[in-house]
Amino acid sequence: MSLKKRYSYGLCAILLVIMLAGCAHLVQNSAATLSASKNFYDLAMTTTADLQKAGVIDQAKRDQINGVATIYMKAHNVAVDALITYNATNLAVDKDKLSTAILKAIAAWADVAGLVNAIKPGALPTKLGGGL
Amino acid sequence: MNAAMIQIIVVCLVELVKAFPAIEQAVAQFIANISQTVPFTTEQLETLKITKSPENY
Repeated sequence: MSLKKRYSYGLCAILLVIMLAGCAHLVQNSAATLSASKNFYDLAMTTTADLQKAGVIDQAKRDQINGVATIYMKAHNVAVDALITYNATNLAVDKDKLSTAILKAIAAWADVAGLVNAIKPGALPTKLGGGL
Repeated sequence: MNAAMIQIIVVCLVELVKAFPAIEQAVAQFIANISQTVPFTTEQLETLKITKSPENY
Protein backbone atom coordinates (compact mmCIF):
# COMPACT_ATOMS: atom_id res chain seq x y z
CA MET A 1 0.00 0.00 0.00
CA SER A 2 1.37 3.43 -0.94
CA LEU A 3 2.11 6.01 1.73
CA LYS A 4 -0.46 8.38 0.21
CA LYS A 5 -3.14 5.70 0.40
CA ARG A 6 -2.15 4.89 3.96
CA TYR A 7 -2.50 8.56 4.95
CA SER A 8 -5.92 8.73 3.30
CA TYR A 9 -7.12 5.72 5.27
CA GLY A 10 -5.64 7.19 8.45
CA LEU A 11 -7.39 10.50 7.85
CA CYS A 12 -10.69 8.73 7.18
CA ALA A 13 -10.30 6.74 10.40
CA ILE A 14 -9.62 9.91 12.42
CA LEU A 15 -12.65 11.65 10.87
CA LEU A 16 -14.80 8.61 11.61
CA VAL A 17 -13.69 8.57 15.25
CA ILE A 18 -14.44 12.31 15.57
CA MET A 19 -17.88 11.86 13.98
CA LEU A 20 -18.74 8.88 16.18
CA ALA A 21 -17.54 10.71 19.27
CA GLY A 22 -19.76 13.66 18.30
CA CYS A 23 -22.79 11.40 17.88
CA ALA A 24 -22.14 9.61 21.16
CA HIS A 25 -21.79 12.96 22.91
CA LEU A 26 -25.21 14.08 21.68
CA VAL A 27 -26.81 10.77 22.65
CA GLN A 28 -25.32 10.99 26.16
CA ASN A 29 -26.40 14.61 26.63
CA SER A 30 -29.89 13.89 25.33
CA ALA A 31 -30.22 10.84 27.57
CA ALA A 32 -29.16 12.94 30.58
CA THR A 33 -31.69 15.64 29.69
CA LEU A 34 -34.51 13.13 29.25
CA SER A 35 -33.60 11.36 32.47
CA ALA A 36 -33.88 14.69 34.30
CA SER A 37 -37.10 15.38 32.39
CA LYS A 38 -38.64 12.13 33.64
CA ASN A 39 -37.66 12.96 37.24
CA PHE A 40 -39.11 16.47 36.89
CA TYR A 41 -42.41 15.02 35.66
CA ASP A 42 -42.55 12.70 38.65
CA LEU A 43 -41.82 15.61 40.99
CA ALA A 44 -44.49 17.74 39.29
CA MET A 45 -47.19 15.11 39.59
CA THR A 46 -46.27 14.13 43.16
CA THR A 47 -46.39 17.80 44.15
CA THR A 48 -49.74 18.23 42.41
CA ALA A 49 -51.20 15.17 44.12
CA ASP A 50 -49.97 16.47 47.49
CA LEU A 51 -51.50 19.88 46.84
CA GLN A 52 -54.85 18.28 46.03
CA LYS A 53 -54.73 16.07 49.12
CA ALA A 54 -53.97 19.12 51.25
CA GLY A 55 -56.97 20.90 49.74
CA VAL A 56 -54.87 23.63 48.18
CA ILE A 57 -56.22 22.89 44.69
CA ASP A 58 -59.65 21.65 43.59
CA GLN A 59 -60.48 19.05 40.94
CA ALA A 60 -60.80 21.67 38.21
CA LYS A 61 -57.26 22.89 38.86
CA ARG A 62 -56.04 19.30 39.04
CA ASP A 63 -57.62 18.60 35.66
CA GLN A 64 -55.92 21.68 34.22
CA ILE A 65 -52.52 20.52 35.50
CA ASN A 66 -53.19 16.98 34.28
CA GLY A 67 -53.91 18.43 30.84
CA VAL A 68 -50.57 20.22 30.46
CA ALA A 69 -48.76 17.31 32.12
CA THR A 70 -50.24 14.92 29.54
CA ILE A 71 -48.97 17.17 26.74
CA TYR A 72 -45.57 17.18 28.42
CA MET A 73 -45.56 13.41 28.89
CA LYS A 74 -46.33 12.88 25.20
CA ALA A 75 -43.67 15.41 24.10
CA HIS A 76 -41.14 13.70 26.37
CA ASN A 77 -41.92 10.25 25.00
CA VAL A 78 -41.69 11.52 21.41
CA ALA A 79 -38.21 12.83 22.29
CA VAL A 80 -37.24 9.44 23.73
CA ASP A 81 -38.41 7.75 20.52
CA ALA A 82 -36.37 10.26 18.50
CA LEU A 83 -33.32 9.51 20.65
CA ILE A 84 -33.75 5.76 20.15
CA THR A 85 -33.94 6.30 16.39
CA TYR A 86 -30.91 8.60 16.28
CA ASN A 87 -28.93 6.24 18.52
CA ALA A 88 -29.54 3.51 15.95
CA THR A 89 -29.02 5.49 12.74
CA ASN A 90 -26.70 8.45 13.50
CA LEU A 91 -28.29 10.22 10.54
CA ALA A 92 -28.34 14.02 10.34
CA VAL A 93 -32.08 14.01 9.62
CA ASP A 94 -32.71 12.01 12.81
CA LYS A 95 -30.42 14.34 14.74
CA ASP A 96 -32.61 17.29 13.68
CA LYS A 97 -35.76 15.40 14.68
CA LEU A 98 -34.21 14.66 18.08
CA SER A 99 -33.26 18.31 18.64
CA THR A 100 -36.74 19.48 17.65
CA ALA A 101 -38.43 16.89 19.88
CA ILE A 102 -36.32 17.87 22.90
CA LEU A 103 -37.03 21.57 22.32
CA LYS A 104 -40.77 20.78 22.25
CA ALA A 105 -40.45 18.84 25.51
CA ILE A 106 -38.59 21.78 27.08
CA ALA A 107 -41.36 24.14 25.96
CA ALA A 108 -44.04 21.81 27.34
CA TRP A 109 -42.19 21.62 30.66
CA ALA A 110 -42.34 25.42 30.99
CA ASP A 111 -46.17 25.18 30.94
CA VAL A 112 -46.24 22.52 33.67
CA ALA A 113 -43.71 24.32 35.87
CA GLY A 114 -45.46 27.67 35.36
CA LEU A 115 -48.82 26.29 36.41
CA VAL A 116 -47.59 24.42 39.51
CA ASN A 117 -45.21 27.18 40.60
CA ALA A 118 -48.07 29.69 40.40
CA ILE A 119 -49.75 27.68 43.16
CA LYS A 120 -46.64 26.71 45.10
CA PRO A 121 -43.75 29.05 44.22
CA GLY A 122 -40.41 27.35 43.76
CA ALA A 123 -41.87 23.85 43.85
CA LEU A 124 -40.48 22.94 40.44
CA PRO A 125 -37.38 23.89 38.44
CA THR A 126 -38.48 26.37 35.81
CA LYS A 127 -36.08 25.18 33.15
CA LEU A 128 -35.38 21.76 31.82
CA GLY A 129 -31.66 21.46 30.97
CA GLY A 130 -30.93 21.69 27.25
CA GLY A 131 -28.22 19.09 27.13
CA LEU A 132 -27.63 19.67 23.49
CA MET B 1 7.91 11.34 2.02
CA ASN B 2 10.37 9.22 3.97
CA ALA B 3 10.33 8.08 7.59
CA ALA B 4 12.65 10.86 8.77
CA MET B 5 10.35 13.54 7.38
CA ILE B 6 7.33 11.95 9.02
CA GLN B 7 9.21 11.87 12.30
CA ILE B 8 10.04 15.58 11.99
CA ILE B 9 6.39 16.42 11.25
CA VAL B 10 5.18 14.39 14.25
CA VAL B 11 7.74 16.06 16.54
CA CYS B 12 6.68 19.48 15.23
CA LEU B 13 3.00 18.68 15.84
CA VAL B 14 3.71 17.47 19.37
CA GLU B 15 5.72 20.63 20.11
CA LEU B 16 2.96 22.78 18.63
CA VAL B 17 0.36 21.16 20.86
CA LYS B 18 2.66 21.59 23.87
CA ALA B 19 3.17 25.25 23.04
CA PHE B 20 -0.54 25.95 23.22
CA PRO B 21 -2.04 24.66 26.49
CA ALA B 22 -5.56 25.19 25.15
CA ILE B 23 -4.94 22.74 22.30
CA GLU B 24 -3.35 20.25 24.68
CA GLN B 25 -6.33 20.57 27.01
CA ALA B 26 -8.80 20.15 24.14
CA VAL B 27 -7.02 17.04 22.91
CA ALA B 28 -6.92 15.57 26.44
CA GLN B 29 -10.63 16.34 26.89
CA PHE B 30 -11.44 14.79 23.53
CA ILE B 31 -9.56 11.61 24.40
CA ALA B 32 -11.26 11.51 27.81
CA ASN B 33 -14.68 11.93 26.19
CA ILE B 34 -14.04 9.09 23.78
CA SER B 35 -12.86 6.76 26.52
CA GLN B 36 -15.90 7.58 28.69
CA THR B 37 -18.40 7.11 25.89
CA VAL B 38 -20.46 4.00 26.46
CA PRO B 39 -23.08 3.23 23.82
CA PHE B 40 -26.70 2.93 24.92
CA THR B 41 -28.88 -0.01 24.04
CA THR B 42 -32.45 0.55 22.86
CA GLU B 43 -33.69 -1.18 26.02
CA GLN B 44 -31.76 1.28 28.18
CA LEU B 45 -33.20 4.25 26.33
CA GLU B 46 -36.72 2.80 26.54
CA THR B 47 -36.51 3.15 30.33
CA LEU B 48 -36.43 6.94 29.87
CA LYS B 49 -40.06 6.89 28.76
CA ILE B 50 -42.77 8.15 31.10
CA THR B 51 -45.32 5.39 31.60
CA LYS B 52 -47.39 6.71 34.50
CA SER B 53 -50.10 9.11 33.36
CA PRO B 54 -50.97 12.23 35.44
CA GLU B 55 -54.29 10.73 36.56
CA ASN B 56 -52.45 7.90 38.30
CA TYR B 57 -50.72 10.15 40.79
